[in-house]
Amino acid sequence: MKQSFTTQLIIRVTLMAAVVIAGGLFIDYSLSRDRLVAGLEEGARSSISAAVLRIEELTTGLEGAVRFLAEAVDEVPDEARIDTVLRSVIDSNPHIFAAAIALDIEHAGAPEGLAPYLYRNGSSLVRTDLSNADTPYWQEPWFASIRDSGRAAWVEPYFEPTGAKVEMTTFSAPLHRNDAGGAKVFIGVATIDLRLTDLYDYLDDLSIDKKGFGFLLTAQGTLIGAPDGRVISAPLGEVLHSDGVSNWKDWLKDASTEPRRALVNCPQTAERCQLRVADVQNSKWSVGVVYSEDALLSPLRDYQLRVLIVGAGMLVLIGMVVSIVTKRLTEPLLALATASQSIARGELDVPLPAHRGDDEVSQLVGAFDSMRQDLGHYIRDLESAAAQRSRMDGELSAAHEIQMAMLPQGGKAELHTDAVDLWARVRPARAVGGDLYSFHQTGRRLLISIGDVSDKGVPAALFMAKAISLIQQWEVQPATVPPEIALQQLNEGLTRDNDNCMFLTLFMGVLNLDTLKLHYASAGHGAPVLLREGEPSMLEQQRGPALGLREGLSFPLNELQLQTDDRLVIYTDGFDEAQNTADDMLGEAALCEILAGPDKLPLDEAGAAIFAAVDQFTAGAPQFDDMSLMLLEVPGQRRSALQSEHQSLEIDAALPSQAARWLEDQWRAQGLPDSALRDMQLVLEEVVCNVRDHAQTGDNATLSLGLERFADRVELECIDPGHAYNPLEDAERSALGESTEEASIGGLGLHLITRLTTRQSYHREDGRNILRLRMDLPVWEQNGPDTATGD
Amino acid sequence: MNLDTKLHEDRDKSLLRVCMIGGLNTDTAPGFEATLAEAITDDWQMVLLDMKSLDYVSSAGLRVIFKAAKQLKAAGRSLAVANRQPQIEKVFEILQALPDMAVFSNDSELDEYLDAMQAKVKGRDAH
Repeated sequence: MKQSFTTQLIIRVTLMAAVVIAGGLFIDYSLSRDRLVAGLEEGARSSISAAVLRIEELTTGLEGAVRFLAEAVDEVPDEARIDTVLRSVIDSNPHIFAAAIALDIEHAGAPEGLAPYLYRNGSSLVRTDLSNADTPYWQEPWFASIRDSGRAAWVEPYFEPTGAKVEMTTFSAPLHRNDAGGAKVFIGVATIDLRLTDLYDYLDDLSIDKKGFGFLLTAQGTLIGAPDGRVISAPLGEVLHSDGVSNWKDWLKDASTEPRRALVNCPQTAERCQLRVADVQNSKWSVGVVYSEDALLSPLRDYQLRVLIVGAGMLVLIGMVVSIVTKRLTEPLLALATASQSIARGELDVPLPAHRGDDEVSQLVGAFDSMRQDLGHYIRDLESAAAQRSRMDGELSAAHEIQMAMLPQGGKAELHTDAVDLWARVRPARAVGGDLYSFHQTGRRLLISIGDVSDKGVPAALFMAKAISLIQQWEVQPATVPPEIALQQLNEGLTRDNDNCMFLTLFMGVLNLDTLKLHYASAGHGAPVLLREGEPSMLEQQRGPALGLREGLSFPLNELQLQTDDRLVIYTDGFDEAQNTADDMLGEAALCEILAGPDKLPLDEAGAAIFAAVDQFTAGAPQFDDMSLMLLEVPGQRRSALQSEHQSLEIDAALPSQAARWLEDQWRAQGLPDSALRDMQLVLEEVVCNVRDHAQTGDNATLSLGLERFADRVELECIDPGHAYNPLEDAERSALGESTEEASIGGLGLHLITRLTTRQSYHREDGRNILRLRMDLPVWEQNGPDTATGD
Repeated sequence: MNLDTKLHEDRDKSLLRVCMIGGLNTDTAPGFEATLAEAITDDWQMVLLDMKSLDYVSSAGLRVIFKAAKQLKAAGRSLAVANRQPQIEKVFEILQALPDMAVFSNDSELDEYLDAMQAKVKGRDAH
């Protein structure tokens, strides 16, 4: 996904800030957590210690009360005395629920014994006597165990069924009297009862959290506590369950578990709770507490949440600040980007963002502004230059046309006389140039000139204009001035007022069309090449200096006897000095080869082929100099058809088969190679089918077929009198290589014609379509008509 | 120019072999077109043009072959050519005729192809 620079900057800076904040908060949190946990642990420990201390105080107090009881009854007391003592003990200690003194049966003075028992009932005290119970009290464990052990002790919690009818626990101590001999004599048991609820008040602040609870643990492992809010007593194992402890009695006795801690299931929830137990001094009882760690750590979680909220808040704040700052920074950049798009569309006066100060953005805006101004200047310059250029181009184009119009037939000329054929062409290197050719037939003489002004371009073109007008004056003299004299006269005309020292090389010739004798003279111009029997040779010539530099020059005359089939090639130095991209020059030898190449071709094709061959050599390099070419040919048998047959066939349904038969006959008669016959048959079939289907001729119209055999090729000529129809351009031409579904069914014929023949030409003449198709023949052993074999 | 055609039917392979003898040009094309049109009305899976004795084909002839190939392909069937002489092959090549058409240079290539096709069809039927 692509993001703008602004977005990227905001995201990255905010992310980095987030990492920094998170890191800081994490460190702070870790430190705070340790401190918090340590504080909580300490709290739990100290509240247990406090509870232990209170229980110790209680026990000490009770023991004191019991001792008081014991001392108060050192003689065997009577019932009234016992009541008084009990009443004072209960009154003096609000925690005591009940108290009793049970005399041993030997000292009771009554067979049912004496055991007065006082207990609280609201604000008053109620008195009963334990001797009224069904079971003799001296047989009860609370009495018997104390009598037997002779020591004070707590009794396991129990339900008192006769008196107060509440769950309670009892602290009992033996009563002794010293007998006459000084020995201790057991006389009874003093007991003090505490309701479990009262006892539990001492542990009230041990409930560290709502899920946990504090408890007392008796010597027998009975738990006194309120795990579910109601005070109960029950064996520890029934109330607390732990995966780590299977036998609580062993665990409590095991000294190695000090300080006693264990993980237990919380009594009301499925959470894990911590259990801590601490022994009470001078007693076999212990104090314990169960608390939920989670609940303990809840302040920590509150702290955690606060930290997160603060962190998130800071992050949002930082994000906002970063976004505001970034946008403020990138706003001018965005505006610049928009402005640059407008400038790219050419709106140069688009407003730029305001810039103050000297920061980087301001510098950028400043640089952008000056670039825009420079661009404006540059575009205006360019526009004016382009306008000037376009005007120049227009002028040059007109100049080109005017210059070409100065040359016979506009720079591309052909002349056919009874004795010679001429073909000429000029191709300037630029719009206009200094090359020229001219020819003119006067009587039985043909005057020809070809020349090249020094340099190229406009100066050369102007000088060329002067030269050609002088040359064309020479051509129309009533009495032909011989070329060497004509050059002298031209030199005088061109030298006059030629302060720029422009000069002209010029070939001038006069050909006698009867004798085929060429008189020629050269003013610094290269020698023509003569193609005789296909062999190129440079003419030996005497030549004078170039025209236009000095007056009073004379020029030697040369003479050449032309023969039938001779082809004379006269050219300017744009040919032999043509350069390719590697700056190699073509040179005269290579040019001679090029000139001889198309020797067998008709004159116009040969001329075009020579230009094409030089272009192939230059391979795209710009044309170095103006190029002019003139071909002069004495027609003979060399380049004409060796054999030629013509036949007119009626245009009707039978035309294709008749044409095919005629072709096969002619092919064999002219000794052409069988290997090429099939191809020509295919071509002919396409052509005649076209004529049959498209010519729209009247009745009795005929198609004229010609088959001409040349040394290196065979040409098929088809002439029909139909309406104008160029099969090379007007015929349907289907796309090739399509799949079966896509392929078109027709439009194939033209492909066969163009692929199987090497040259196709069409022109319309005298209301007839003339189509010529050439097929190059491979070098083959020519079979004369005599040796042709039919099958 | 004349063109004779001989039909060989191979019901097992659902193959109609059309042997072309002579030349297929603008004159013989209409007759061949009619012969071929009639011959392929039967439900042949493949129609094979055997060009062993065909020594000339022009664009008018190819036109008929193109047309038949189109018809057969539209019906999910196919047209193939075999045993082309060099000059026939040249014309096919110049016109880049139906690059997706099956071409066999001899009968053993054809047999291989047919065996493969039959195996494919049997495989498909088995599913």
